[in-house]
Amino acid sequence: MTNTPLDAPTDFNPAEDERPAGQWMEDYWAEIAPWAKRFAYVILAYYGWMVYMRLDILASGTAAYQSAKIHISVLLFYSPMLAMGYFSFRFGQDLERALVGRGQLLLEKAFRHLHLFLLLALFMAALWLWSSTVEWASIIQIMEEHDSSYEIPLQSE
Amino acid sequence: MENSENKTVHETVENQGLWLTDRLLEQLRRSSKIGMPLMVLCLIVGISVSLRSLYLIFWSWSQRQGDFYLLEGGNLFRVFDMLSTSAIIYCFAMGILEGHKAWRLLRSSETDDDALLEGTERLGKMFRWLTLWGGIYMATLLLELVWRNAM
Repeated sequence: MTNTPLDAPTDFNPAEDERPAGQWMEDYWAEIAPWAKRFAYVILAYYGWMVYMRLDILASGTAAYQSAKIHISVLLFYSPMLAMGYFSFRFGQDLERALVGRGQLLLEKAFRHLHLFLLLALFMAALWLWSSTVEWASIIQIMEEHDSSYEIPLQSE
Repeated sequence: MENSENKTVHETVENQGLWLTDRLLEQLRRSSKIGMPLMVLCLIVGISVSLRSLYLIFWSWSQRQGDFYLLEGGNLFRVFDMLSTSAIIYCFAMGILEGHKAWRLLRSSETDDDALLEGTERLGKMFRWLTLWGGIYMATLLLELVWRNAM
C-alpha cells in the first residue's frame, strides 16, 4: 500500500466522446458560484428569522419542559429550509473550488448538491402552496366577518 | 516511457480545464426534470401570494380616510409596503421565468450545445434574481419590525 498525498491529482481520464467545457461554460459557472452562495446566505438568514419569530410567539410564558419541546419541534419543522441553504452553499463552494483547482470530481459533486437543493426546494414549494391556501382561507373568513359587522340592521329588527 | 505518456495525458487534461463528462450532463438533465415542475409550482404559489399581498394593499388603502398626507395616518408605511411588495414580486417573477427557461434549455441540451450554454447562463440569472428577491424580502421584514417597535 502506498501513501498518497492529500493534494495528489485525481485519476480523471475523459472518455473518447467527452470534451472540455470551454471558456464560455467556465465563465458562466464562475458567475453562478458566488450567487448560489449569496442565495444560501439569504435562505439561512430567513431560517434564523422564522425560527426566532416562531419561538418568540410559541415559547414565551411556557414551562421549561414545554418550551424545550417547542424549540425542538420548531427546529425540526424548518430543518428542510436549513438543508436547502446548506446545499445551495455547497453547490456554490464546490463549483468555485472546481474552477480554481480544476477538479472534475468536485464539479460533478457540485451539481449533485444542486440536484439535492432542487429536491428540497420542490418540497418547500409544496409546503408554501399549502400555507398560501390556508392564508387565503383565513383572509376570506376575516373579510366576511368584517363585512358582516358593518351590515345595517333591518328596521323591523 | 509509459510513465511519461501518462504524465503527458494528465497534463493535457489539466491544461484543458474542466470537462463535460457524460455523467455531468446526465446529472444536469436529471436536475432539469425536477427544475421544470419546481418552477411551475413556484409560479403558481407566486401568483397566489402576490394576489394576496396586492389584495391586502388594496384593502389597506381602501380603509384610508380624509386627505392624503405622506407623513400622517400611516401613509408612509402604506407607500413603503406598496413599493417593496412591487419590487419583491418583480424579482421573484424574473427569477422564476429565468429558471423556467434555464431548465427547459438544459433539458434539451443533449443534442443542442447552444441550449446547454444559454441554459447555464440563465441558471446564473435565476440565482441572481432570487437572491435579490430574498434580500429585499428580508430587508423589508427587518424594516417593518424596526418600524413597529419604534411606533
